[in-house]
Amino acid sequence: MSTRFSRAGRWLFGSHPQSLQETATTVLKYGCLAYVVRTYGVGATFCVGPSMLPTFNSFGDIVLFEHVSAYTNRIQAGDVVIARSPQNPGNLVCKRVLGLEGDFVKVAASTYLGPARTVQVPAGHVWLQGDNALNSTDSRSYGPVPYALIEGRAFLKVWPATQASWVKRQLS
Amino acid sequence: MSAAASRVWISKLKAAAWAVPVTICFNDVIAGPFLIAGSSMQPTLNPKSEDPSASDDVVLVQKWTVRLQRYCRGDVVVLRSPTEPDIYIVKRIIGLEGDWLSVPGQLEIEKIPKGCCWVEGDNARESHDSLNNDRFGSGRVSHVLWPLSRIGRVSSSVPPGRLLAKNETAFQHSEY
Repeated sequence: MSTRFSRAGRWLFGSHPQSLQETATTVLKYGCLAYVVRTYGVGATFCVGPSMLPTFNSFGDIVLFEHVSAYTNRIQAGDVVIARSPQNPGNLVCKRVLGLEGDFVKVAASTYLGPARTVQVPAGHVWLQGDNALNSTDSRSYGPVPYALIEGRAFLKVWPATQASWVKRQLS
Repeated sequence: MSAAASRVWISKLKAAAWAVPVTICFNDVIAGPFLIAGSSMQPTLNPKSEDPSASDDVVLVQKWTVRLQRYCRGDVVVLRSPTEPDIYIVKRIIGLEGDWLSVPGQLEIEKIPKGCCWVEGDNARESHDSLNNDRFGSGRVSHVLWPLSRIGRVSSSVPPGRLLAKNETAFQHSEY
């Protein structure tokens, strides 16, 4: 055990002496705890992109998500959720749920998404749509999304502080 | 109990409590055991051919390969069912996005859309297992752990004749 490491440990953790091994163990333990809280409890994320205007800005918003609703099947129509992108599993998308399984969703006509139509959401799926309908790639492009891809529900916008507010469940 | 004894007790409890998040994290990120139910992956998993009342197989499911997006054709994977989100299903990957596959029993060829892969159970009689799924695999089945008579690797192989054209760029450039 080198004295250099002991000095670093004391500098990091105050006067309580820590060997490198103890420091590594502590980092590992708290890392696992942070992972569990972030994955199964509450986490904060940057939201980027114009698809959820005006609810979220294009850049710079920090939003709190909770994951409990996702794995206890308590997501409801009108919730803002984060989900794995069905087109690119390395990405997360943030959209509003407009319909649960069995619901009928009306899709407005648009020049590149086709004529107006009514879609029934199949079993085990949800319909995701961004609040900014003019600039959002969502279920209107890639179809209903399996519920299993939903990771969490946004409940509180914390930054910018002047716009901090609860994220409301609403169907426009 | 004296004060010193209860301090020892509390410190042991704290050490045991730390095991919970560490085990959860290890199971989610590295690997963990999984109980196989059903017969859709026979004879690879849950064969039960000689003894119908034998216990279900326990397998080792690797999570890190899936987190690094390393899906290979022929892998047996665990994924959440797209139609019933509470249920996990275990199937073999036959094709990845962009591949052209022959559909068994029909004179059809299908191209797998972007973001999807084609999974099937090994048990040919269970026809409803042939699904076209989005890629939200939660793990890759690597070894059988139980029963002890069948401990060993789970082989990764695509049944011959199904894959008509491979998409060589599927997962090649993981900029994710």
